[in-house]
Amino acid sequence: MRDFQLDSPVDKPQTLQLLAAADDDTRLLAGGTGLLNLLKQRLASPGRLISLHRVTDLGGITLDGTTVTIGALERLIDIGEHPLIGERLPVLRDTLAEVASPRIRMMATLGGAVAHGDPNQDTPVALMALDAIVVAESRDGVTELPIAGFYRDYYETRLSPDQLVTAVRIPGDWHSSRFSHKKFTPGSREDYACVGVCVRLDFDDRNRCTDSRIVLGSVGPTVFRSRAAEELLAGKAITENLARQAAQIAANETDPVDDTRGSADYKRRMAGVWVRRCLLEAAGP
Amino acid sequence: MRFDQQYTVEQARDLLWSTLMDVHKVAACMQGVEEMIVVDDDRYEGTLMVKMGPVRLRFSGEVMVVTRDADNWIGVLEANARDPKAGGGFKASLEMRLVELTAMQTELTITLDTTFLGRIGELGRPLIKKKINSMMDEFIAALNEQYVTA
Repeated sequence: MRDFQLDSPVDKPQTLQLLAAADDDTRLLAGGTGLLNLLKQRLASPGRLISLHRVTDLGGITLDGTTVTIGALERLIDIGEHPLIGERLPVLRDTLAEVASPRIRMMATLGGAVAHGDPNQDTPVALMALDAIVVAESRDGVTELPIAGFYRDYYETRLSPDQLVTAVRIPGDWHSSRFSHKKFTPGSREDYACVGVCVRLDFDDRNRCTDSRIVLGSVGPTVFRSRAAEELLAGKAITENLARQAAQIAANETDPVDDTRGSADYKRRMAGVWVRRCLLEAAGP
Repeated sequence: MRFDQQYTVEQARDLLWSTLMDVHKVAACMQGVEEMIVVDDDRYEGTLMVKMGPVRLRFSGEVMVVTRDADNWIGVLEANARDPKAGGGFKASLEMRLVELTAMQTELTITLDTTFLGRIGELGRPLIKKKINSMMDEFIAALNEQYVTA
């Protein structure tokens, strides 16, 4: 294994200072559940690691008006069990309960799950359906990046090497929205999804769809919204037939690869099946 | 793993052919080529660095020109490379076919057949598959750019 330099800052200012001199050979290490796999398989071998395990000022789950802010170093298990999340964002709670195993959730952090840029992660799928905002900081200031445009490619995001994800912000009151999500795993429950889907639907008083999010994970180089499928639903009541059409559009937008969770063709078909089921469940009684 | 793609390149066919048959020019249009040594007219050794977020794969190996069929505008390359650190590699056969669209435009069809070897890992394989698409797009953009700036 290649030797690397390890830094362990104790707070955000120290971390930002270290990142100010960072290049793309520097990686941040939070819970380690993503990056360590790449290191162990020797697919990644950064020259410098900045471990955040001693940093104490990047936590907290708070409510300001209708905006929930979650500190980047909050662990997935703590977020899922937090009463504020259960009350205001049950879809996020339910998604987190299905991430890998409790042992992984005890280590993995929200900032890591977002910044790692792995399209197989479950958490960004729910966050995108909730229009979450990634808060990134460098010594030059704070930038707020909507998660819908945050991912560029496999493991690649809009973050620059000197930026640190400090929090995720979820504005909005979702009480009247209808959600449905599904993590489909043909193998063990703890595996990555073959396809992950999260759907959000908003209706007017005549049951016509006024706004929607159809988000898919594990079936392309990034987690993504099927905007064409969302547009099809606008102003319409969700019928079996409409759900089928939207699901087909979403499935056509996927770009999966063959792996142990299925062939690309199978994953594309399953994307259609689960988008349709999620739409009907969210629209149902 | 097979990859088939057609591209339109803003170059006359004979000019594109001579560019594609010149490994140095091809290397100049490819991101991540770190080294290129000429062994003989049809054999080259080199290193290719593939980057995706934190992932770094450095493949070292050789490229051989096995077909230079200028009459039919078909070129075939074979490559064989390994990343000793990741403990795996690939074998690839790349066929290029050139069809004249207009005096200044050529259709380039690329067929790539790749076999992965050794312990490149469950994680590595889908990454490389996706990366090939973006590398090819960048390569074509660079070819067009080279023509514009020439």
